[in-house]
Amino acid sequence: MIRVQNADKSYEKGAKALDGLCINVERGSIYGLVGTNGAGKTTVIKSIMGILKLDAGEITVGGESVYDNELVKQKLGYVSDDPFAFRGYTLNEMGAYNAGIFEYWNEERFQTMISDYNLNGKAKLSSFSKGMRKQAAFILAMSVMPEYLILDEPIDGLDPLVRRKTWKYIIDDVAEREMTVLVSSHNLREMEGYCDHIGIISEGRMVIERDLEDLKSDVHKVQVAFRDEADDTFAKAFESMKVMHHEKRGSVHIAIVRESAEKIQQTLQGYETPVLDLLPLTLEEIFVYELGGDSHEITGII
Amino acid sequence: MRSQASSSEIKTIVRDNFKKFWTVPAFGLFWFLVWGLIPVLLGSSEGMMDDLAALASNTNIGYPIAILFVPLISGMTVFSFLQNPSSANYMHSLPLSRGKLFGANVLSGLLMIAAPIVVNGIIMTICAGNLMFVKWMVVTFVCCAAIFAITVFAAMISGNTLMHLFNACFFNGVLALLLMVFIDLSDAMLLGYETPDAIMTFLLRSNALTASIGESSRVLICAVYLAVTIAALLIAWAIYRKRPIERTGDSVIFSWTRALLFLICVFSGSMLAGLFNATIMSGNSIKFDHNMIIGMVIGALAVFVIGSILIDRSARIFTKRNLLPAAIALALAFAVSGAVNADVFGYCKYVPDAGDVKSVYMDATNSVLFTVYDDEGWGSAFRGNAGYYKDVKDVREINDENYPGFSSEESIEAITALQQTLIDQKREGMDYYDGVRIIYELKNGKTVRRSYDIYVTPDSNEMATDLDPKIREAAAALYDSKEFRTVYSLNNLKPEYFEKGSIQFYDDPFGEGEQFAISNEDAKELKAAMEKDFQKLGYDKAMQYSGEISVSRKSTPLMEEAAGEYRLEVLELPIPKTAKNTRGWLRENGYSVK
Repeated sequence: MIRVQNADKSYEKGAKALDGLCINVERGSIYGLVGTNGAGKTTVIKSIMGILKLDAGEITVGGESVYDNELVKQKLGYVSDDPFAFRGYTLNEMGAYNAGIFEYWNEERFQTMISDYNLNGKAKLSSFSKGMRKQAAFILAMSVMPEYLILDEPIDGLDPLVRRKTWKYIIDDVAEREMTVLVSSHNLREMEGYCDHIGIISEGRMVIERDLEDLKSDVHKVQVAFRDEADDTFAKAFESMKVMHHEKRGSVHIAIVRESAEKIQQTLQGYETPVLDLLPLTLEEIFVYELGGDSHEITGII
Repeated sequence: MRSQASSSEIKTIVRDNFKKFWTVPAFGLFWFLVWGLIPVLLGSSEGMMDDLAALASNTNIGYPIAILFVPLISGMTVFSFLQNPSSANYMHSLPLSRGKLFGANVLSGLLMIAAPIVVNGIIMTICAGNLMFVKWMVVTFVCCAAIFAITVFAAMISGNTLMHLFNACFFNGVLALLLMVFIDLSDAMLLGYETPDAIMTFLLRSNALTASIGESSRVLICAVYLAVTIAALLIAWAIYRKRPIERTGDSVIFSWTRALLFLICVFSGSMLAGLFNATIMSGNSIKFDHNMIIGMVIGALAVFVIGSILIDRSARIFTKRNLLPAAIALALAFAVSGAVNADVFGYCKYVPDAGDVKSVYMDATNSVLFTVYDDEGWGSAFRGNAGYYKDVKDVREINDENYPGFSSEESIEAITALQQTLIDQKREGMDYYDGVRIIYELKNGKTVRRSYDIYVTPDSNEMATDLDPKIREAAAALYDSKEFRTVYSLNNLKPEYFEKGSIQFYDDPFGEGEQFAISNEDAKELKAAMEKDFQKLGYDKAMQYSGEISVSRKSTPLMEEAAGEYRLEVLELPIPKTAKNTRGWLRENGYSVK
């Protein structure tokens, strides 16, 4: 597993990128790391890759510290948000370079993926579009047969077909080799479809780290209208539940409630409700409500 | 299909560095061949060994250029990944420890430097047929390795390519820069300042490039620059371990680098600008006055602004972190300049006690002090060069000429008195006339060197009689000393003068003169007459021009080409107006003497 414990990292005086951050990525899981811009996602990812050294705290991969550890880094595949290639190198030449560095380089897979993605291995990477460079970076990362795959906004900018293909490779390796994946992205809809664990970070700290299904099952969007409503009908009906957000549109109340579906239904049984819908929140909505409100809401979720 | 990569990472990095940067060693080899082998092959066979010797000592123009640029560019290319955030992130994400990354790139760079040196060295060794280019390979490689190592150090503290280049050049030459600043300051402000030989030698060897040039002390140079290479690489490694990758892209990685650069650059810039302004405004009398201060402030400001823009790449340059080291540097420059100006160590006034002096040498015998003048001010210099005389063992080279030493109490006292008059002479409003250098070897083993200008009034005819009377008096004391008359006796001249050559007689400085072959007997008589006059005439009488005799010695082409030897082919002997014996002999033998 990947474990980040009490990570602190500052870039300049007073600008703290990580502030006691803790992350736990279980083996064989696909962990989605989400956060606002400047939350510290790329910083923690670079720290996991051993690029940055923490000011305090520890990062272990498979139980071993990762910084300056060649053996551990042999197990890591990495796709950066800004893929790099040596000037003038073709994809095949980058592959040859990686083959000399990574112990478990799989040339057969490399060539298969180049063909599958319809790229030209003999063309210079500088001639590739931005999307193609990301694909190339992904192919290079997957060809080292990593036990841990670290992706920093890898899918952003790729077309839907390529994205689907990419996720297929990831999921296949997770299923076959129990590969562990840590992926950061702003595309919450997509992450929702593939990740099984989510970590939401804000200002260098972990806000929520949960199994995605558990997270979604704990929070519901309730749309309810009451017959013969009085001013305090809603308040009375929901007084025993944790309401994170409430607004009224016409006669319909929309509330984000931190409660199980059974409890909500049970509670509202005593009211005449011509409209009653319980909707699970999307990851995007959870993200917005977790980070867009004041600290009370965040404390309420935890 | 899996690949074994456990011990091949270094090989991969080295191979890829050569693949990416092969043009650097290739161009280095090309440069060596174009400046070395090709001209030698195209030149004449007669001068070939001399050409090869010049190449083997790196004294031709082309080789030093490669010695500077090949290691500089090698160091910049193999560590270029540290100067860009994308490449830095990528390389440090690979399963390579920092040690392996550092070591593999250092190895790559050293191999890139060695390749053109070894190939060129082997080719030139075959050409030369001896081992001079084996020595060349060793010296050149060690010096290049030192330049490379300092460039690697610069890579660790720089965050972009421009700063890397600047820091590489700066740290390779910083010692020489500071030395030159101090030498310039001392030369400008300290009366009598003469840079000691040891300091000049150290200056020339203070950086690997100039140290690689020349033949002398090669073992010492190799040892020193091998130590410099190792030290620079160890320091670079220590810094690399601490280098925060997130700072890549910033011009300077560590705050101490910024402070150090400002400190040295502002200090040096202000000193040089101050001296420049003072020289323009004050002429030959440079002091720590308003001219110098204005120049220093302007220089400091200019360096500060340019340096800040270079480092911060922003117009917001007046920040505390920049201003503080710059202000300290300027204050330091003021303090040092003030201290030198005040002569806090008593350098300017120092005249050794005659009793402490073992021997003294000076080039005054070639100066205005001993020049014989005619009524219109045209002169003939005294025969001061030791090369004219036989059996002179105690000599020192001053300005490419050799001068005999004086060790008697009488002559040492005369010279120390002369030095004192040169210190005390008036300078303000006076014109420069000539210069004198004096070297004392003290009994305690130390050497004291001084250099003085001699001044005359602006409306003078610039003759010996225009000199300060006290200077003339001191010069006379030396001229009239027993040791002077012994050292410079015509009987001490080498036999080839007078006896084997031809003689030309001039009765005015612009005349063509009469050339005549002289028999050995006549030459002896003439020399004897001249010697009588030399021993008899006092300083004042001896300095009045009447004519001169020019004596040529038998020469060979090789002697004519050797440095300094050419001047010794002809000996010009002035004939004072009052030289009765000489003038008498000339008249008796049919020469029209005025």
